[in-house]
Amino acid sequence: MKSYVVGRRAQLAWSALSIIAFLAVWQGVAAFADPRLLPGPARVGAALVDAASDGALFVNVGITLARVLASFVLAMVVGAAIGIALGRIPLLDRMFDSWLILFLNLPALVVIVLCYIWLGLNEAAAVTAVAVNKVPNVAVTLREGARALDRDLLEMAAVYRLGRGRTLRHVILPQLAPYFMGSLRSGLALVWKIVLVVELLGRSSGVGFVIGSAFQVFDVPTILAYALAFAGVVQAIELLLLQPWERRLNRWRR
Amino acid sequence: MTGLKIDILRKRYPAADGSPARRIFEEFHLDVETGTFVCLLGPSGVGKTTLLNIVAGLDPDYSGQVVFSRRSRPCLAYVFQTPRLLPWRTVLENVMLPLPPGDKARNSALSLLDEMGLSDALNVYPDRLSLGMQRRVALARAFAIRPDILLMDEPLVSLDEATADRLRDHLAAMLEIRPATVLFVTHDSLDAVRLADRIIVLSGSPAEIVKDIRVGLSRGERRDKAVVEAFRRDNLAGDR
Repeated sequence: MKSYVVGRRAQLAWSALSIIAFLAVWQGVAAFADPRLLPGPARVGAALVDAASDGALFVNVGITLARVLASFVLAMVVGAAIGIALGRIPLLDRMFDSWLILFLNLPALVVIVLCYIWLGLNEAAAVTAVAVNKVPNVAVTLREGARALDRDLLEMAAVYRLGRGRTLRHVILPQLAPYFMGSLRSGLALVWKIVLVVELLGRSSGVGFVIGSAFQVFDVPTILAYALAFAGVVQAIELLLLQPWERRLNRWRR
Repeated sequence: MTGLKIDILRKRYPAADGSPARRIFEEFHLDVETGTFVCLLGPSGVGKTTLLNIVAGLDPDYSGQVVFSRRSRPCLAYVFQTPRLLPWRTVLENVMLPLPPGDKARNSALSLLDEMGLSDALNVYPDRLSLGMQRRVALARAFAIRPDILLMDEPLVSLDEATADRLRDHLAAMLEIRPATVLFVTHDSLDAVRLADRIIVLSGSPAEIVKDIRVGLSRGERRDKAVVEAFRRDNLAGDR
């Protein structure tokens, strides 16, 4: 237990050191650059405080976060269902494999623009566009997992007549957990970037919208301030949500 | 409980990756009366596990049929060669798994695990247990559903002698309380003599029953090494 605490502390120290080093490099480069193009940490910090003090930062980050979560949940559920079905049923896999490759290679921009044209400039279109971008990635990852399911355990489930529901819950999903975790991780990073583009193109709120407006007046400190704020939120989700959850999922491992 | 009647007209494994096609069973018949403990003895690859898989319904790729005498779809438990426990569920959860959820399941799982001497390991994950203990958990899971038919595929293999002895005693004690028709696959004739009412020796390709021996030993005699050795020498010489 003690070594665990020490390890935790050392890890925090390393994270702090790494952030300080980043700020130092940034400051150093900014000293030689045009301050309008690359403002230093102090000016970006001031912009951050500004945005926070009138509440705009929290509102926009909150709205973006809500869109990220909505499209993320949608993409995970639909993608997992498709992936598991393709991994378990060879006929479906043969039939839809090339569809999956097509959607995997469809540029995010095309999906976003088409969603706005077909569904209108509304929230549903925004969330759908992001989800459609993420679904193929989730499906491909979960398909790998579903193909690699342990046959011995499935036979055991069949002999003991666990039925579909309990087999899924106790036998299949735990084996897919690492694949879920994988697509959750890569998904979080991908989805929030796409959400910003969606907001830039067709919404009048959220981090993407603010960055779009700042771009029009070349307000680089605001662009960086919002980008950093959101990256911080994603980092917090990783540290406070995903990592503890993963530890919980893995506690049965030796 | 129920007996069963196995009629396999043909079971083959097709040629694959350079290994030739194998004929496992042709015109194979075996009747097992209700409540009998049958040991299937024979060399590796003769088709013992295949036979269990066919009875369990895991291998539908054969022509023929398996008919159960009293119930068309009997309650069937299978103790596999490897324990096949869910590594992400605790010992207790693994034993409760095949039961309808509830307090009743919990209580019967608890008492089974207690009988198997596993009360201290209820909340342990299987990977942290020795193979012998994992096998005991698998046995508890099998008895949890109160099976009519119990299939066992070399459940004592790769255990040291003392652990195997203990598991054998557990199995015998369990069957006293919860009788079942048993098909027990082994390549160890010692196991066969110590446990079985009837020993079937399989050999050849396609497999044939070369010996069908009734074992009329009492419980006391089965524990007597000399008696078991003598029975083995007289009846199973050459079958290991």
